[in-house]
Amino acid sequence: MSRNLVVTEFHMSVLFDPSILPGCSSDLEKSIIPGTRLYPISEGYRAGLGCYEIHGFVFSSLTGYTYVYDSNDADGNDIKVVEIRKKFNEKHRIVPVADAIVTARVEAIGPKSARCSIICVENNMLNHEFNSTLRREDIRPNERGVDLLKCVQPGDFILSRVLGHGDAQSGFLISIIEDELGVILAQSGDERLIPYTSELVRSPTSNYTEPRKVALVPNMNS
Amino acid sequence: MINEEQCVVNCQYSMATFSVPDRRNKPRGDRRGNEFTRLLERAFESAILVKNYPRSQIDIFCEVLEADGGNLAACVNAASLALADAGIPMRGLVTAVECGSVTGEACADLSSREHSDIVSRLTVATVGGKDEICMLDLKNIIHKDHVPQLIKMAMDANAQIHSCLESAVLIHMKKCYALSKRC
Repeated sequence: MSRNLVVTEFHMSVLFDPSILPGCSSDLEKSIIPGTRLYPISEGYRAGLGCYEIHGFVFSSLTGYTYVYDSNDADGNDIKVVEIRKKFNEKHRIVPVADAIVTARVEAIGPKSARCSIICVENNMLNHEFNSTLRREDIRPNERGVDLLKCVQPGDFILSRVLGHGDAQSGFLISIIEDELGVILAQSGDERLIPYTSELVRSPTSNYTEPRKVALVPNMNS
Repeated sequence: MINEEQCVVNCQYSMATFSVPDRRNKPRGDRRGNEFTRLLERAFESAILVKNYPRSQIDIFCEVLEADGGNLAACVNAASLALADAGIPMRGLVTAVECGSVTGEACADLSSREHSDIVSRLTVATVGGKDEICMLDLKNIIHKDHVPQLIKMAMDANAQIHSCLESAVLIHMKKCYALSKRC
């Protein structure tokens, strides 16, 4: 019966933590349940995480406390974004999305792909890991038949980009084709190896090196 | 079933074998149980903001421990509280009540001893305690002149149930989540 209702939900970028903004003013205000009418849109309020807009008003969709902060919309006008939070500095749930840079740990190498666990999305550590797959053709540009074991090894930490969803067995699909993506910390036996050149990782204590597809992270400090 | 645009709501309605005076042999799988399962799915699909969770599934499993009439309504209310506690975004708390029409007179919240084949029973679920009905289930036949009064009785009862659920959620929330300012 109510399937014809059109609901527009304002999708905040999940990677944006607004509490660091200088314009963030109020503390957590009233406690509310889903479906509570909050503020009118005409007075400059917009729906953030946990709210939705309908009939010219911002309604809540979660239980928690309202939290209002200042922001600018697409046209540059001042708006007040209403969010529902349970704690003041709550970290929002982060899920890997397409085109996001993620940090993953390589769990196992197969014949044509590597199984990895995504542990961070951009700057946020996740509460639990997501399964993902790094295919052989997504490692080096223009090379489809690379030797997987010379590029990544189990235990390595890689910086990669999410291509999208795979099926239930493979989880997310990730790629390290770009120069800035690849192995950032490698493991050999008990030892941690650090990046040395674009093709080698080296032990910090000895001269022992191993081949990897190393991430050329641009050096911002020099 | 993977739906690319929205999440799938999967419900299960099950009655414990000890929930009724005459012991049941099958907790689930009978026709009425399957019917309640589908009704729960449709009700919550319209209340949950399903567009937020593409390619995902939300499972709602209800187990009736003691049945005394209004089983479907009780499951709807319990599931609303569970979803609010779990942090699933909804358009409002879904409340339900089972009302009966006895010779034209509407009665709210029948017990199982008041069930009979000549009394028509209507389970109505609304969103947010307001006038938006998201589920209707009628058992037995009712004269069309008696329907408006029955629905009005159900809406009033739903508004009261909604305020009960609302205060329960707020009390529970304050107990569970310590409000820490600027920590």
